[in-house]
Amino acid sequence: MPESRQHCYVLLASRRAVWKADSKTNTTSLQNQFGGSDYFSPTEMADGRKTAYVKVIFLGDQSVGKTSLLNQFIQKRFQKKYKATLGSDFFVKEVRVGETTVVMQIWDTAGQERFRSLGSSYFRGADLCCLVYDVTVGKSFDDLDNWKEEFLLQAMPPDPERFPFFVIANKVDLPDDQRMVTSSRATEWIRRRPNFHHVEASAKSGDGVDQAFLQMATVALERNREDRQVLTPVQVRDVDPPPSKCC
Amino acid sequence: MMQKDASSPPPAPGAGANVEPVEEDQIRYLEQCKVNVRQQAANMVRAIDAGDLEEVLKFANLVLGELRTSLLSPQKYYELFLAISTQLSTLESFFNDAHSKGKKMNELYELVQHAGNIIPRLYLLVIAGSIYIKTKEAPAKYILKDLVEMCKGVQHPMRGLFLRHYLLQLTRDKLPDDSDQDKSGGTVRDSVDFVLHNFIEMNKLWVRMQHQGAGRDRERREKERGDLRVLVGTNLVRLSSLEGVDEALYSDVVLPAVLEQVVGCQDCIAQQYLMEVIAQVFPDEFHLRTLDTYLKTLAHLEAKVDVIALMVTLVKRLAKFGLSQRAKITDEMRLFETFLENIQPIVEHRSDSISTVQVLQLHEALLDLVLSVYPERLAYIDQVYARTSATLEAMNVTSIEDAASVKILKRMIMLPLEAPAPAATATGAAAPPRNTLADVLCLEKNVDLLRLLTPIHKKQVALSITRSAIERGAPIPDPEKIDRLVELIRPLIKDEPGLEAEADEDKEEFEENQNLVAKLVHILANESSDMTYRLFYNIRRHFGQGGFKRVRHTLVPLFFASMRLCHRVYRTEQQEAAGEAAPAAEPRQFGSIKILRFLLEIVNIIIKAFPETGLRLALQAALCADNCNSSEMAYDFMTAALLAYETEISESRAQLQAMQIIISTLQSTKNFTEDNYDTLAKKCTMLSSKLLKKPDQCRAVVMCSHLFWTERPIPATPGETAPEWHDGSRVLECLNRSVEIADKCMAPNVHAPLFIEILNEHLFYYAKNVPEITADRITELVNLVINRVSALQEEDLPAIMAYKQNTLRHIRWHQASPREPAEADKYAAIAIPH
Repeated sequence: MPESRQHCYVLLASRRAVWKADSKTNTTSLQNQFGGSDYFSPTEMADGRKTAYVKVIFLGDQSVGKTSLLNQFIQKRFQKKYKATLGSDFFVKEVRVGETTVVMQIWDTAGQERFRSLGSSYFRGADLCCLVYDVTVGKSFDDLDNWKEEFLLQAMPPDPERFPFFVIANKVDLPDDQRMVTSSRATEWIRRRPNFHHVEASAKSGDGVDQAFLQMATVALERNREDRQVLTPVQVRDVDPPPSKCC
Repeated sequence: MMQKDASSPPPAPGAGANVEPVEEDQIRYLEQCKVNVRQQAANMVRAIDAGDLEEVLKFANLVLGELRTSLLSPQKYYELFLAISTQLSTLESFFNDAHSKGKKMNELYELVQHAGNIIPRLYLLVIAGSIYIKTKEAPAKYILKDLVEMCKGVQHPMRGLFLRHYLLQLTRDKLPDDSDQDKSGGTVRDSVDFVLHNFIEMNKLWVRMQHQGAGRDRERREKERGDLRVLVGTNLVRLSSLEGVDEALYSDVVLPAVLEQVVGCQDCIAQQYLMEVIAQVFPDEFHLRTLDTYLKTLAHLEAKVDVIALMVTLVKRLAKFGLSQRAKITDEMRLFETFLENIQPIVEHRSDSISTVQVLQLHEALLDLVLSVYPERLAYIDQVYARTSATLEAMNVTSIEDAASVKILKRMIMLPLEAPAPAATATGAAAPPRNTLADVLCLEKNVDLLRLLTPIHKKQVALSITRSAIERGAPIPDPEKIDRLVELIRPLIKDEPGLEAEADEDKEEFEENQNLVAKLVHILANESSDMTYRLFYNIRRHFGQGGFKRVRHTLVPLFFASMRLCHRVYRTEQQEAAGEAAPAAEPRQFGSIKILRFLLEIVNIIIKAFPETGLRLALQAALCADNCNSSEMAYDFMTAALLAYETEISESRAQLQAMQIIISTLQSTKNFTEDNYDTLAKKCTMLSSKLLKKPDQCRAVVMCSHLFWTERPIPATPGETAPEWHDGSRVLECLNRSVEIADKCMAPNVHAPLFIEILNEHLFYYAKNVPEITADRITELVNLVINRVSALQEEDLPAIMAYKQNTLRHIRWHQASPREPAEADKYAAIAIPH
């Protein structure tokens, strides 16, 4: 693949000195779980390290634990106190998928509609949408389809039927008698949606959280690769410098 | 304020600098901006590749220059902002890289400030500053302070808000907090000061938008402000997520500063939004601590701020918290009292602008709070009720009719009855028991709320309460509770003024409702028979007020329940008398006789309204009394039945049916004294012979004959003479009388079957060896029957002939195949002509 094209999709892959350094300590390897990746051609793997950038959007009802899952993944912390999220915030975290360092830009959003006054334009360009529900609140599961629709409406992916969704069943640490959405119900629901993935996790205990994000990275990377095949690349070429805007 | 120079993007045709182009123009313009951004970013990347810092900054400037526009709406500007900030992440890495290659950050920090235009300059400064902090070449607190001050350079509201938003975004993971070991960069206090400073500046920019531009653009301006509010609110999110902002820091520093800004800005939109955001983004534990401060602040907000909605938000949040974390809410927090104390002055002060539905919403939320946090404190519930009605009264609300208010009011009344059992707390403390129906009936002030509803809604509430009471089926421990219950469901118990319009309510519905009320009887049954009786007695008083149309549905079930109670008490009495059961610890107040009197009372009411039903109940009760060995009461019931018969039943068919069941009831009693029995039997015979139609008379009199020849058991006590229940002469008397009556029937097709019936009765008594019934007499009757049948017309023949033939065949059968020798002679004595 020519260098110029790579810029369009994998932003400045090998140049991040600081992130490279980080990746030694902070990157979780997926090598064992998913095997080596055949994602990049051998020539591209010449320096032994490729970096891909993926964008993930988190959606779901209020207080299902979107922010808590992210905090658990990024800071390995769980804050029991509930705090609503406003608007949207993104976090960046790297994981290793095979030979690739995947830099995940993860957007946390407000579950309450009225707290997203600036619109959802950041949905665009996402490689994956992660829908979260609370296994103790039936409605949060029922709402997943609405969230999916909302996402597709705003993100406008070229192939909505095939766009990957990742569903996290959160709060599985709570006792079974509080559980309103059973695993089998969720599995059945997922089975009818080929482009959906499903995992159970607990932001509180941390169970399943890392695995979920690693899997997400893999799925998003896959998507990212497909995109490269589907879309016509933007040619980067020299342009005439535009007139200066400086005062 | 930024100056626009000649090279700025051309404004849309015909639009002034501050007027946004229409939507399509905006989209086109935004696309153009994004293309520019992509191109300049690509150039910037090449410069980065080449390691040419000056070129990098030049192109970064060009990328950022797009943000100088005034032509985009907030949402479109945000899109551009996102596109640009994505590209700038490359620059962050570049600065980082540069630092690792030995570039001094203070130099870079200076260098980026050479940019000619303030917007790109400050964005670059923020990027450089954030890396500066990261490298720790200078204490974070000083850099943060500088950045937040420098951003004052942009005073255009929208551009300023986004710039500061960017500042907040880039410094997010670099703010010193309690998790840092090294305090040289600053403490969490420095971070709090930084965010608070940024918040105050952003709020000022946001509020200022309201006062810029022409008055006619107000609507658009307010929409734009609405879109941008999330940028201001994000500051508060940041404060709440800072490690180290604990309850103390929040209540001593953060909240006072935020509130001061909120109150001081005197802007309605800002106050409404920010107060809500405070309630939403900070944890419940903080609110519990600062509740009073927050509520007191509400009193100082602008008149147009919907403070009720704010209070409702907070109350609801804490109610939800209370459901799962009740143990964390201690009495010292005075949660409920604090709300109550603060609500009153606010509501009073704003009484002109507050609507009924708002008052109700607020108190409804408060009730939810009470039920989730203090589920067992009934007094609190009553306090909420009292406060609600007092507030409405002060507003001169005397009746509530709009659908929204009615719905809330109904829910408020029903809530204590319907509230789910509180869950055990997360900390493992046991859940308090759910309030019983009896507990709920201790409430007193719900009636005041009920009074505000229109009759039709009162009735709906009454139905819901009744249903819920039946569902709960909890024991009711004292009769006064019934008064309370009845007070709540009065529209079902009696006619009320105001419901006349509804008098023609569907009959079916009325019956359904009354049946529902009647079911209440079944939840009254109590372990103590005395208490059960008291409850029955009390509810009868109320049912009695319902008028004839109701008692038929309500008193009948009560009658049967009482009868069951009577049997139960009698059985216990017997067991105690026989020493099989220990006598009750407390002497029984209400014995079976007392209950029978109660039954008589009910029966008399029902007889007045529905004689036929009443008569039957009287007979049931007579059997019950007889079973309970109370012949006096049995006599009273029989008398009541006979009186009902004589005075209330006039239709001939009904009379015959009534007479028949009176006779059979009397016949199956066991414990009457001879005198009483005789009186009743005679009375029956007399009334039978007075029936309207001759055949009826005839048949009833025949039936009466059985009253004098019964198979009742001999009383158990040996030595006592058994009452003489076998009285052949009286039997004969009745039969003779029936023959006389049959004879008076003129039509052969009427009297012939009567004679055959009489013949059969004779055969019955003949078989029982009643001395007065002789073979001669039967022979005579046989002849009479043959004679009368022969006179019949052709068309009446078959059935009557068959009846006759079967009767004669029966005699012949006895004659031909006697079961014992004596029988042969006995039946041979009857002569049947051939």
